[in-house]
Amino acid sequence: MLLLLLGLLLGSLPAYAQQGPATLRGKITDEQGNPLPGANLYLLQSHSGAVTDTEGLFSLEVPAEAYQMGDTLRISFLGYVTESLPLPEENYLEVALMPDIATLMEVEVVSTGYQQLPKERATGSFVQVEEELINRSVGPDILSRLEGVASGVLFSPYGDGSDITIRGRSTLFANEDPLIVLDNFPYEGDISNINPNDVESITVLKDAAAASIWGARAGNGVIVITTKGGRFQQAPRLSFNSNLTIGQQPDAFYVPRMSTADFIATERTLFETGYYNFAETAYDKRPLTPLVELLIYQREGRISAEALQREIERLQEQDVRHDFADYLYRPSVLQQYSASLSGGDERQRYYLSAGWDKNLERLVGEGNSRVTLNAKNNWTFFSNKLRFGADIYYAQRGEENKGLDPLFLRQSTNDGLPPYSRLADDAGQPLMLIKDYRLQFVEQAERAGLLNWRYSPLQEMELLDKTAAVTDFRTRLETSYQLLPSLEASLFYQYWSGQQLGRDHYPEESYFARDLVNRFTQVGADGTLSRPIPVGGVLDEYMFLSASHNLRAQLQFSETFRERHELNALAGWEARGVESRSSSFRYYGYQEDKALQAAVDAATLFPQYHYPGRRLAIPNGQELDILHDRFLSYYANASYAYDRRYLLTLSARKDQSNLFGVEANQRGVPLWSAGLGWNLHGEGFYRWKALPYLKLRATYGYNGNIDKSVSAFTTARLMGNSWDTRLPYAGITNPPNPALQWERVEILNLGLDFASRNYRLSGSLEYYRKNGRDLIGYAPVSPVTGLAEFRGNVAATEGQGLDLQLSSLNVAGAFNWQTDWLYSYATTTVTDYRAEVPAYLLLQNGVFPREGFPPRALYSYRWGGLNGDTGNPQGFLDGEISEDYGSIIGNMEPDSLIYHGSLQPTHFGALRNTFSWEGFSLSCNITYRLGYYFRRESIRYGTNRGLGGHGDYAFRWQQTGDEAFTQVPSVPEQGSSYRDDFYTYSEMLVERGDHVRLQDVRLSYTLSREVWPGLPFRELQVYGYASHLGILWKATSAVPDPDYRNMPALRSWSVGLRANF
Amino acid sequence: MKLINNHFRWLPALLLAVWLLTACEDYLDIKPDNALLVPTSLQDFQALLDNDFEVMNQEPALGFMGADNYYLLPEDWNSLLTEIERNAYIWAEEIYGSSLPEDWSLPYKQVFYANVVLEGLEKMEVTAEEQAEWERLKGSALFYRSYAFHSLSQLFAPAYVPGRAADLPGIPLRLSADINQPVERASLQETYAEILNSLEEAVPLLPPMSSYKTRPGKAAAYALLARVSLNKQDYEAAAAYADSSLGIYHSLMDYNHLDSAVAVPFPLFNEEVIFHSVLYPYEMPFNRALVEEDFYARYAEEDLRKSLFFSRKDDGSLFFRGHYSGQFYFLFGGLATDEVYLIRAESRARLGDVSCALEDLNRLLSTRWESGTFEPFTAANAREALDLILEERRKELLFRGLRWSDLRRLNQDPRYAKTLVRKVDGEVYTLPPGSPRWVYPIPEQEIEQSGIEQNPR
Repeated sequence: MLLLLLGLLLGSLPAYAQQGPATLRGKITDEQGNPLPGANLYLLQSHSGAVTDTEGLFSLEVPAEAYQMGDTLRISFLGYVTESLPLPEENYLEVALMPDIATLMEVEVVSTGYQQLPKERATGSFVQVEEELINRSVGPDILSRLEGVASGVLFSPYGDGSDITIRGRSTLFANEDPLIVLDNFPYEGDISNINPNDVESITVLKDAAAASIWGARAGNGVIVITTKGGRFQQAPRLSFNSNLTIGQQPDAFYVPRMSTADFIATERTLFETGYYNFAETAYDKRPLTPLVELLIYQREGRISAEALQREIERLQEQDVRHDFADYLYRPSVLQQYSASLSGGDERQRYYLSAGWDKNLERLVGEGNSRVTLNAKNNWTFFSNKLRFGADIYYAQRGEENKGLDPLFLRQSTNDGLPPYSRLADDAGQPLMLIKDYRLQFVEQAERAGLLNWRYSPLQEMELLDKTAAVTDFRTRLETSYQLLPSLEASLFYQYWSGQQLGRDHYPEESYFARDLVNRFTQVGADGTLSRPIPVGGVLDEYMFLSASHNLRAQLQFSETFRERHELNALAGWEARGVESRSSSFRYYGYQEDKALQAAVDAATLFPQYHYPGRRLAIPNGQELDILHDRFLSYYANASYAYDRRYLLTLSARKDQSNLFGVEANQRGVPLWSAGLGWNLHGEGFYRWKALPYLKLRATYGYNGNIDKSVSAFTTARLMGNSWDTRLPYAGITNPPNPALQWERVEILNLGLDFASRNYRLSGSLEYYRKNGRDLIGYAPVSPVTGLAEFRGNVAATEGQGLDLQLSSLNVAGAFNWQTDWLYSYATTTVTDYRAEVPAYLLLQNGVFPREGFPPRALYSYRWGGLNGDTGNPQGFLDGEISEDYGSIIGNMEPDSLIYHGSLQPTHFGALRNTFSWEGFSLSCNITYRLGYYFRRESIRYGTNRGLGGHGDYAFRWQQTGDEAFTQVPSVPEQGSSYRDDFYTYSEMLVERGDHVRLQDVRLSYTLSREVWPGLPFRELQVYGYASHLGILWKATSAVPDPDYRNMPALRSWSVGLRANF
Repeated sequence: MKLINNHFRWLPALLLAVWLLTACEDYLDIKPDNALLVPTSLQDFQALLDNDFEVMNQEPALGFMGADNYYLLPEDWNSLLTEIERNAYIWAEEIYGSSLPEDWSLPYKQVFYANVVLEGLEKMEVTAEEQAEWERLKGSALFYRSYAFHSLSQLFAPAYVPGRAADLPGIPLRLSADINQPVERASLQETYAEILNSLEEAVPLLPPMSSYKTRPGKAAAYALLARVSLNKQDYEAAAAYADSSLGIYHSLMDYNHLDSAVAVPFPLFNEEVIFHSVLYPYEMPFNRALVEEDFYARYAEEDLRKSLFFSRKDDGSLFFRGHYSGQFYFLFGGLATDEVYLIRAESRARLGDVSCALEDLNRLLSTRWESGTFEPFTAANAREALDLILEERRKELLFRGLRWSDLRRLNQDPRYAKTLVRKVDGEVYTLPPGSPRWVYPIPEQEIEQSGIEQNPR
């Protein structure tokens, strides 16, 4: 169908080509030759006009009489001096406009993903990050390069919740990620598949007017990424960029842990009190640490007290974290190479690029490499009336994921690794660790004929093969045709496919495979063994395939009436469909070299060898998911400017999706926005010479957000097959909810843009209100209904904030010093929530809405100090000092908790200073995050006297008087989770998160042919870059870094070279 | 010519617009996730009712926890994982802390599933081939709902007292899936009437025996009717229903064929199981609950249950392992032929039919004794027979959650009334007959949301 339509379009073309020679074509550029899209051309007497396209190209129909009367052509563009010239005789014209001295304002073109528009004509809130700023940092991931340079954009260092938040949180439980748009279409793939070297600019759309063109998915803001393209009539340009980054090795000692000596002492105490009696005879053969085994030996008289003491002294010397540093961690090494070739003639332009990245990550055995290939072509036909573009983008990434994170290195599910463990001996030979089962059980099982049941993490890592191959393919076709001088029709199509194929191979020798075989081994009445899982390797394969089609048809209208009225409008329709499939499969008895595998009986429940009372089916690792995401949308957008002083913009969009179980007429949601702009400096009365550019903006409207997990009908999900009957079964996921609606975000944005004379000081200030309406939340219902809670449109939030962006050219001349300052303030408050979240949940980190407070807030119990006699923590019950923790926790009402503040920074931004002299440039970015709180970690004693817990153990209360200098409770005689919870959630452990960080420093030297004629290249830049250099100031002294508490912010150092030929 | 050209230049755009507006009507009708469904077909309803181990084939465990037949060591009681287990053991005034117990919410979830299915079935247009399946599903849904109501009535409503049931509070009877319906407690009489009527309605719709033991058949419906009637002390009905159930299915296992060396001697869906259901898996019942030596001593030497039901831990303490659930950590709570025999035996004894009562008892017990050693039990009169049957009922049906209901029923008869005693850390707790603590409190969340009447403690 598409092809047919294209054919029709093409078929009707020759009619135009014959329309005669009276067509003036050409190009309007700035003084550097950059195209000026949207420039106006107008014949003063014959009233014919045209507007340049995104390439700055135009084609103007000239009536025959215009030549006779000697008409005048006027060329105008906002921010540039208007040119008037006699109508030329030739049919091609190229004009470079000079910047308007009166405003000196650089004309920035922002992209919404639907259109490019000059910032002067915009009323909405856009943040534009240009190539130079993108290339300031060197990370392999494009989005991280926005950190500290895009106003109002907050990154979460911890990865808790969303990684990126634009202007605060506008939903409670729905998707909270901003929409990522890549070359005009939403991008579904992994962002790490994009080579940052191919990116030309990034635009962040923050308010309703900017984002509402994206409708139901714009509620969290939109990030529009535009990749590079070639230019018409440009000689071929070759660029090359390469860099090398070395990252700091993680510090295994970063988080304080109980010392080996304390660990051993605690184990001995626990042993005396009989703590291990249950485990010694436990039905599941749970493991005991080497020391406990020694203590048992000694109790049984198998070793002497002296021998035990010698062993203990030996163990006391050891700390497994040294082994982490030696065997599991390493400095990361990231290499990046990319080359591109671009250029064009009158009718065609192209951009070709290739990139190669190779990254060795901070964990031994983790790394990835990426190859990207990109080709972009654009052609124009029929005197520039028909344009055609075709792009292909291909990325392939290989990953190795067999690294062993010490966090996951455990003795068993319940117990961590004893600190005196060793991964290797002094000669570096891998050592065995106790894992999952008691040593004596393992020995006995091996004697009974089971496979070797020992575990060595280093050997295991060596044996495993865990890799994944990711490919990402994208092709885009676009064509547009100038139906009338002011009307253009366009058709866009994009196909994207992403594929991930992974395999985790556990060879026969691996503990993983041996353990599975052993656990399922059956013992017959006569002691003979049978193995439902055959001896051999285990291979897990998983696959994720996803593909999307996007089709968009659009009409654009652009006309200037009677010189002063500029009207730009577009309307369109689009369809988008994404299909994803994921599946996984496991092979047993796998032999890689013979490609052999064996069938297993996945239906029978087998008693487990180590725990015959438990019967399990052999895990088959089989999963299959098929998902569809579809949208149909209609949109329109118009802007009107009167005399370039008054601006009015309108935008509306209706989205319909295949939201499940909703009647067809409820699938859609209409969203709209309106904006006003006033270029004050254009007024006759405006005489303020110090500030030749001043603009006021105001917008209002709605964006949407989607939560596909709710539905108007009773919906159920097929869960697979029952263990017992093997019958397929379903669970109800949604009770009926006929009143269901989509979430909406109402945004009001007020902005002020200004620039002083000679650009010395420029910037913008914006104030916004952002209110979440009909948010999906939980409301409690009577359990008799069969539901624990009800999920529906029951919540609302209110948010407001400021974004300030200031650029100041402090020193100009041979030596340049520029300062860029970003400041954002963002708060969100829940204004309506029907469920009352109990106090104990409010204390957890997470989204727990409570009316009048931020969705993610920090609360605590009031702290009454330590009891001087016992070292017990003390709280308050009915206003009195109390140690009745159960009652304190059980009777606590939300209103009685101490509220500290937001868990997310409310004030944040960056200060960037750039110094340049001759070819040198030094830039340094300082970021700050203020106005938030966090809860620091400390010791929890559990039922095992805090064994292996936090290093605060060393500072615990031990005797009367200690309470004067410590607030860490004593070891309790009887472990109590209430006592631990009370301390964990007390105000004692709440800290202010405010801090200032030296984010990065970049030094570069550029050699340019303009300065050094005769160089073999046009420009060569050598640069060095260092990031995460350290904290400059922090409000708390309790932790080294408020944002990185489990793992230090790893420093990195890069050197690179960029050349343009 | 130019005129035509001017017209034609719009044609492609026009065609495109028409195509776009008309071609995609079905585009949005696809499911976002292939595993999702709006239950509308018989297959969908069956899949909901087959949600066995997460929803439909589980039942509350509070009854087990409050009854005798087991004890806890003080250190085990101290280290119990949930407050509910700890409090239920000593019949504390408050049981649940801040949590919502599954013992209340899970049966109502089953009721919700059953109601979704019942309402969906009513909306269906059924073809002739589908009719039998439709009836079976309707019967099943009614059965599951009654099963859940009955479990709830044994915990959260007082024991049935014939003649007084209209004045005693029952439980909320939820008969619609609409979450906006008000919640009210029915009387105890209405509660039992609803359970019995729905089961009576289900019987003709169900097949004699279902092909899966997680699904009910007529035998299961009759067995449940017998269990409910017994708890209602309507022994005539209980005898009749038990008779109907055994008329359809009466298989008993010969315990001589079972292997006591295996950790869990009884397989899943064993021969005696009529309907499979397990108690909500708290950790205590399977991992900490121990059996008194005195009680163990009441089993005869030749009684195979001694070795098949019990085992000793390394420290010598006795624990129960005779679950009909096939899994060590699930207590069986469903319906099995041994229970139905015992219901019929008791009812017959109470109705004065001593010989038939003893015949049922001996039929059952003969399969429990070592081959060739069983001497049939005899009784001089109905009272002796009843004593014998009640003793054997306790010895046969322990760790099934039935004892709680039995105690509530038998406490009304001074002859069998019993005060329960627990000793923990030097404290002695008692639960005498007539205590309000024979009725569990309704969870606080329920009282807050629906305002229904709380049970006195």
